[in-house]
Amino acid sequence: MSDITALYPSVDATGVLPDGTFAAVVSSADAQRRPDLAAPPDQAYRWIVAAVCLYAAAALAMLPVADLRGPDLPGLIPFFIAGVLATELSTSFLLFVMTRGTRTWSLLTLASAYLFGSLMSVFVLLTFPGAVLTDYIILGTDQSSRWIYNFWYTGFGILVLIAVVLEIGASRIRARHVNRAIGFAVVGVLIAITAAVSVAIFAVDRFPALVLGSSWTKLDTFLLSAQLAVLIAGIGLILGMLRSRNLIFLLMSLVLTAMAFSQILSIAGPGRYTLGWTVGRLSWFISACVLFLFFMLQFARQQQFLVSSKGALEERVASRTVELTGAVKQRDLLLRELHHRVKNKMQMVDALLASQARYTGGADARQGLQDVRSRVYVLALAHQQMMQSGFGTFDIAPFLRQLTDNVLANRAERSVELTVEASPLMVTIDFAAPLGLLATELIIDSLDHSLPRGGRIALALRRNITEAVVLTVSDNRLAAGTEIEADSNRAAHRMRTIRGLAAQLDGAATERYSDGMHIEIVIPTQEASK
Amino acid sequence: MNRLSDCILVVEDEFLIADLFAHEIEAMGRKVCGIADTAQKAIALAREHRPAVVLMDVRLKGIEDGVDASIAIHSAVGSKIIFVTGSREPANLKRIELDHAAAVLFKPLRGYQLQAAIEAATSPSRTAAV
Repeated sequence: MSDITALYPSVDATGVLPDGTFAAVVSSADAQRRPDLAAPPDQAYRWIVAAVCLYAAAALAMLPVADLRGPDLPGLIPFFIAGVLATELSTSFLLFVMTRGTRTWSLLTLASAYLFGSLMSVFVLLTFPGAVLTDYIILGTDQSSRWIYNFWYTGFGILVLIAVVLEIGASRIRARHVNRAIGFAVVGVLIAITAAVSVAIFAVDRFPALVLGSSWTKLDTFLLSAQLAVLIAGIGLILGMLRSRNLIFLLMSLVLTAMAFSQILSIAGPGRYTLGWTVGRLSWFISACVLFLFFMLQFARQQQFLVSSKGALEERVASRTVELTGAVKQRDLLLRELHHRVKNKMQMVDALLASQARYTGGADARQGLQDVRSRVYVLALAHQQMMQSGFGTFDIAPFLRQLTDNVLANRAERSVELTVEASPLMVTIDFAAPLGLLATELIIDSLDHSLPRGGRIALALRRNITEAVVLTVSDNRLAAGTEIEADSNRAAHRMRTIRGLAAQLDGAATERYSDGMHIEIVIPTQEASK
Repeated sequence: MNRLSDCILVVEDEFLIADLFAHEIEAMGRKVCGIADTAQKAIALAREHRPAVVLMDVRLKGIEDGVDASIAIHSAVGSKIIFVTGSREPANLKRIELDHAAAVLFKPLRGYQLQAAIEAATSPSRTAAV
């Protein structure tokens, strides 16, 4: 993370830029893998100081030859201005964008300085003698160009100096005010430019001359020196106080040095088209390119980082998917194993009951145990059907047939004829189990009553016109009463069970005697496959 | 094949379930020639008694399972094998397919289902599909 914090002092500990640029892709694991974005801060500081010193040395070395008069090169100006306009306007835009993330007044001021510098350069071009049209000044006078030039230089220098001071103070713009602050800054810059240009073009007659022929006046030299002082103050503050706290401002020391260099040569070769002046323009162009080149380099690195992060992310997603798929498979296997064991245990419960029934003396008690086997079987069968359907819904018709067959098989009466008529109905285990128990209970109830020879029990499951599920069990018992029941407790308990199970399914039971008992249970549809 | 005895071998490692099956087989008037809870014991008992039908649980104690035992018994003795399993795992069913199963029954298993399968397996004309 150290490299990112070097670029942006406001990066928090998680490595996320204030503007969120890296938020999606940076993690501590990725950070170790990816290449360094920039040199460590101390190293960058040493490089910049070395560059500043070299530049200063070069400037001093050029001083003796700065006043050599070269040829008139008005064509150099459009080239110089176009370069400055393109790079500084782009830099200004990028700095404004960055300001939205860092929310620092310093960066906002720096962005404004670049906007001011880039737009002012256009007016230098338009007023410079012979720059656009030979021997013709488009706007103002010869003095206008020099005044605009001085406003330009002074404005840029002072704004940068303010930005440096603000960076030392490190004050922040409130999050909700950022856009408004940027808007005000842009409008402010435009007003300042309009004012400076208007004064230089329309009121230039009231000002003393700055240029005579192609040489500067004393006033001009004084202004150039004052501007130089501002630049040197800026360089001093950056290298002395900010040091490597913010790479952008560290680079600004290089920008100011290149400008100061052009300024020194301008003063030394006092006039246009001296060697000092021409080299000075080139140096200024270099200064305008510094942050622009830095941003381009930054863009290239971020692109590269994005590509490598994307690869790493895809790799991680792939390996995590494999892991999760494995885990799901394992879980699935365990679940099926568990259900397998449930079925085995059900079979064992059945075996226990069967074993107990075999050695139970009384016929009634033995029959009771066999009926319990029938009820337990309902649960086991419902479980099996659910498993078979992959934990989904299953058809209740074959389920009902199997369990009613089983009730009969657990009974001695072989003479009873049981018919099952069930329409297909897909149900969940939560519906099937209570309904199966209900059907079992109703059939056991019928079997417990004295059916005549050729006894008949008919079970039916169908949908009525309101789509409700209707379960009916009819028999041909001889009387409505409970004359065969050993005690009325048992009958009461059975009816309580029947009504309770019906209620569990939100259904209601009604019974009617007419040549046998007819019990009907109506269950609203939505319960069936929920 | 005509040298097979008319008894049924029960292979099941849960005693209670084996006991229930044995009683149900006897209730239908057939003889149980032994109960085995491992593949090795099942093969030994089959060689000794030459049962007509083996009621085979797939999961057994020990390393070998019911399918291993069935393959050995089928080739050595020639008994009909009725598999009883609680699992419908495709892998499990595929293993059963390896052998010449007379029937595959699923737990929970009822007496009448068992009876139908045994009758089908012992009648020479058809194979059971329960």
